[in-house]
Formats: sequence, C-alpha cells, structure tokens
Amino acid sequence: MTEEFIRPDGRGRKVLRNLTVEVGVLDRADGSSRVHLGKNIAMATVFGPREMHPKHAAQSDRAVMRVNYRMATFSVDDYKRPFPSRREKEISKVLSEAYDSVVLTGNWPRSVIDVHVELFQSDGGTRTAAAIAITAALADAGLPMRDLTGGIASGLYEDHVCLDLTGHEDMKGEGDMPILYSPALDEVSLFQLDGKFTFDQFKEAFYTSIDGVKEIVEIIKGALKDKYLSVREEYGVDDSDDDEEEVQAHLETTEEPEVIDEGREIDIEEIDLSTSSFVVGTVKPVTEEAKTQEPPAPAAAAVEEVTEPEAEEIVESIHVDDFEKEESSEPEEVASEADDEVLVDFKEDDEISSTWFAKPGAELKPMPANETVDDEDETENVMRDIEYTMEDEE
Amino acid sequence: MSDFEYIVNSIEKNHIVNLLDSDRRLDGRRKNDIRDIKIETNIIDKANGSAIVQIGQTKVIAGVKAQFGTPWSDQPKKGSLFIGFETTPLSAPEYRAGPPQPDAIELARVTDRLIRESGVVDLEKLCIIEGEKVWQLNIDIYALDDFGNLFDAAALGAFAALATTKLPDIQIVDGEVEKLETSSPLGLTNFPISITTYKINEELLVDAELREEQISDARITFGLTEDHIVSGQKGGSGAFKSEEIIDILRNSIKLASEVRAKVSEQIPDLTFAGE
Repeated sequence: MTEEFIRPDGRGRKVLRNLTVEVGVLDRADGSSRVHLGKNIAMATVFGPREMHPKHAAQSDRAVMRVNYRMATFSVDDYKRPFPSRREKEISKVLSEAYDSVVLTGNWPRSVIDVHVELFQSDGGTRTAAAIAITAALADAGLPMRDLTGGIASGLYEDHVCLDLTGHEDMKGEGDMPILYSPALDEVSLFQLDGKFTFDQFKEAFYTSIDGVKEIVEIIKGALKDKYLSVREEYGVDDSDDDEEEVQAHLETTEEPEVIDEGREIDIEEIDLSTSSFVVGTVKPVTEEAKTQEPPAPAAAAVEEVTEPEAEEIVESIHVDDFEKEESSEPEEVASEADDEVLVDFKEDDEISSTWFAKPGAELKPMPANETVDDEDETENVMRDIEYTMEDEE
Repeated sequence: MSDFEYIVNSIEKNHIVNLLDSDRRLDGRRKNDIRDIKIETNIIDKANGSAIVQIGQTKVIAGVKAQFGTPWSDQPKKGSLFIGFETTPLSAPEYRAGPPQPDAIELARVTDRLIRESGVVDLEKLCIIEGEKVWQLNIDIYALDDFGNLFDAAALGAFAALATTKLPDIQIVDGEVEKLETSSPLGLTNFPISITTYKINEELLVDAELREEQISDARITFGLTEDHIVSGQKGGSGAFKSEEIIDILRNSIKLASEVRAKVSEQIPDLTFAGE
C-alpha cells in the first residue's frame, strides 16, 4: 500500500473530490441546499416541523424525521425508472434514522420534519452527497441540531483504501463504506458497508472517512456563514459594530476549501479490549429469584404497538403496481443495486453549462430573467411531483 | 406510539437497562450471549434448497429456487442472485399483508450484500452458455416468528438454504439446454455469518430478543467471513461512538467464528468447493 497511489481521476488516496455547498437556494422551502460532490448534484429541502399526516404515525415524545431520498430519471447513464427503487427506499430509511439522532426532535412532539433530497446527477457516493445537502438544509431551516453531521464514503480501489470513491472506482473496486459522522459528538449515525475489507483495511477506511467528514463539516459551516453575510449585504445592515477584518478573513478562508494533505499518516490507536463495554468486571448469572422479580412483559402493549413500518410506509410510497413492476423487471433492479450508479466517463467535469446548477465561484454568464424563471419552474415541478406521489399514497 | 405505550416502553427500558448494568438480561442471558441456534434443512421438496432457522424463538424459513435466466450484459459469464425478504403477517401482529415495507426491504438488501459480497456462491459456476443462459438463483426468506434479530436469522436462513441447494444436471443438445433427472450440490465457496449488536442507552448487547429490540436505540450488523468484513449496516435512531464500532467489530469477529462452528454441526453434508 503506497501513499503515492494515484487514482483514475488524478487524486491521491485521501483526497476529497471538489465539494461545494450552498444554502437557501430554493424559496418556498423552510430550508434548502445544493451540493456538488465531484459530479454528484444533490438538492435538499426541509419542510417543518409541521403537523404529522397521517396522525397515527406521529410520535408522542418527538417529531418524526422523514427523509425522502430520490434520484432523478436522468441522473444516471440509463434512464432511471421514476418510482422509488428498493435502493432508494433503503437509503431513505437509513437517512431518516441517522438524522433522528442528530436533530433535537424532542422539541416538537407529534409533528413531522419532512426532508426531500433529490440527486440530479450521480457519480458514486450519492448518499453521502445527499447527507451533506440534508445537513446544510436542516441548518438553513434553523432546526436545532446536536452537531453538524457530514457524510463520506471510503472504499477499496485496487486494494488501496481510498476516500470518496467515484462511480467508476466503486464499480471496479472491492468495497465501499459510507458513514455519517458528527465530529463534535464523535458519533456515527449512518454506517453501511459492502465489499471485502480486512480488519486493518476497515480501520483505515473508517478513520479516513472520519477525517474526511471533519473537512466536509468546515465546508458546510462556510456555506452557512456565507449565506448570512450575503443577507447582510443585500439588506445593508449597519455593521459598523462588527469586526470587518474577521468577516473578511473568514470570506478568504472559505472561498478555497483546503485540500486534504495526501501524505498524512492516520493515527489508529489500538483499542484495548479490556475497556470494551462487552467486558464486565463481575459477572453474575441470573438466579431464579432475579428472574421472578421481573415484571410481566406488557403483552397487550406490544400487540397494539404502532411501530415504524406504519410510519415509514407513507414516506416510502409503495404502490402495489410499483412492486409488481419491480418484480417483473428484476434484472435491471439487481444491476442498479450492485453499487451506486456509475458514470464511466470520468473526464474533468467542469462543463455544467446551466446557470442553475453552476458551481459558485464559476464564471456565470448573465441570463435573461425569464429564462432563469423557466428553469426554476421546472425544478419546482419535480419537487411538486414528489409531493403529489406522496399524497397519492396517503 | 400512543402515550400509554410510550410510558410502558420507558418503564420497561429502565428495567432492561438496570439488568444490563449487571450483565443480565430478561431471558437470563449475558450481554454477549447468542440464543440457541437450530437449523433444519431440506424441508421443501419443490425448492432447490430450503431451511428453517431458529435463533431462540425467532424463526424464519428460506427457500432457493433456480431457474434459467439471461446474464447481465456486463457480466456474460456470471449467473445471477436475487434475495427477497418478507416480514409476513404470520410473524407478528404489527406486520400486514402487502408489498414489502421499508424494514423488509432493508433486511433483504443487507442479506443480499452479505451473500453477494462474501461470494458464497461462485456465480461463474452458474453460467450455462456464456452470454446467453445462466442459472438465476432466487433466495426468498419469510419470517415465521419475530422475536427479535431477524437480521441474523435471515442471513443464516439464506446460507443454510444455499448450503443444501441442488441444481439439476443439464446437457446441451444442439444449443438447447435440457434438464436431467439427476442433480448435484451447488458447492459453496465461503461461510458468511451475520452478527447484530444492539445499543440500549450506553449498553451494548448482541442478538436482542423482542423487547430488547423494541426499546433499543440503535443496532449495527456486520457480515463476516473467516477473513473479511463483507457487509455492514447501522439502523435505529441512535448513534454509535467511533470506538464503539471498532470494539463491536472485534467482538463480532470473535462471535462469528463461534456461531460458524455451531452452524456447521447442524447442516448435514456441508461441503465447500475445493474441499
């Protein structure tokens, strides 16, 4: 395993793709964001907290996080069929659970926070791009969170542990492990893995991702600060009291995200098994007495319990037709499941011509006002369609 | 969840956590104990392979059906694999009939990753005519009794069913494939085990039973072969510390080899290709 390994797109092993995050990009939503991670383009919106519909899915002690992850039909090489695939349903579920642990949902019992995240272009690592967008959108909506969570995948490509695999690397590689991590809490809120990792590769990939996330969270913070600065500029707030220099210094540092040092050594601390929570000092087997002291299990409660499946059902919008279609065209399904959709063409990709998806900082041609409006309408339609589908199911 | 259930759950959770604090559990196990595993194979004659797997009271049935299919265009030499899971209404009062819910989809996909990535089945051996005809294996798992930890049960079910799978012998006459009366075992190439660890407050335990699973904050499943980590999935609305994950993985690797030994005893004629 050499540090000099150069990947197909010219990156070193532990270098992120270009990441840009913008917040407040859509107007109707309570919070919104747009993320470019390499060729991935993700947009997220947040609605809520708002009244839970249907009511039986509400939780009496907290708000339900309902993340809806979707990919646009044109986001992959082949046409992606428009109804949610098994892959999308699974990712929606794990993302919902991940943000459940991050957002202070206990503040709004019986309500729901709807998060919609749509991938308009995909190239490996879509769920982590989606997660970055969700975190930014939640923060933009002003929802209190325990930490800013970032997501990134590390995987194996030609048996090298690499950060942030592209679609090509993911398809050809030997494994992929996306995580969501909250640096200030040291908590992993999403973890998935597929491939063939040895224990050492696993540890290296895991800590590589954690370092990657720290980088990402700084970029998200930058995007959030930028929004507030631009609002101040727009409305001409009297900022004579504020420290101009600090603001300027901040702007300078956030415009160019630092590149991760390729040659960095990972500090993997050997973990002493004796500190493991599995190992308990004194072990007392349960005696018969102890057993009889247990209260009887409330069986009735268990029977009546409205558990997650019911709540999730609405989010995931399953049509019986969908299901049947999925079954009948199984081969396609499995193919797209094997990994994130892949764009094999990995030329440098700064050719996004639309103003709408342009990365910030790129030279934008001024467009006539009405054209921009058209574009926005189209995208809003996409969002509206998703809403419609969801309502239909309900 | 109604207010009543919320309160009952909180009380029950306190009780379970108090027990865990002294390494005890509702059913008398310790935190790191896995319930007894029972496997019964070849129970469905119509299926190419089948098994009923029981972990404690949790019970699943798995069957393999093999049929001819066409290979993917990018993998003309490989057969295909499809794994389905259904939390049937048989298994618990909260499951309803209908298309798979997100929980079941997640279970199917995690089991799929385990079986696929571990390379239990050498897909190239399923090729009949390159680019034209291959065996397509459909492995479907149905929950019979959900007493917690369906993840590990489903993985064992899929493996046990595959281990007993026999494919009809074939002959190719003028490019036509004919099935013969005889059949031969599939021949496996790996032995993956799934270990799921649950987190309740700050306590970690493996193989949760129903009540523990219902009140758990998070769970993490690792799929392990003898020398590799092949699948992983975190679930639940809690989170794990980064060191916890490494700890859990170490512990899971140790447990997996114990489970592997126990399971081997219960699957008759368990042979691996090349043995």
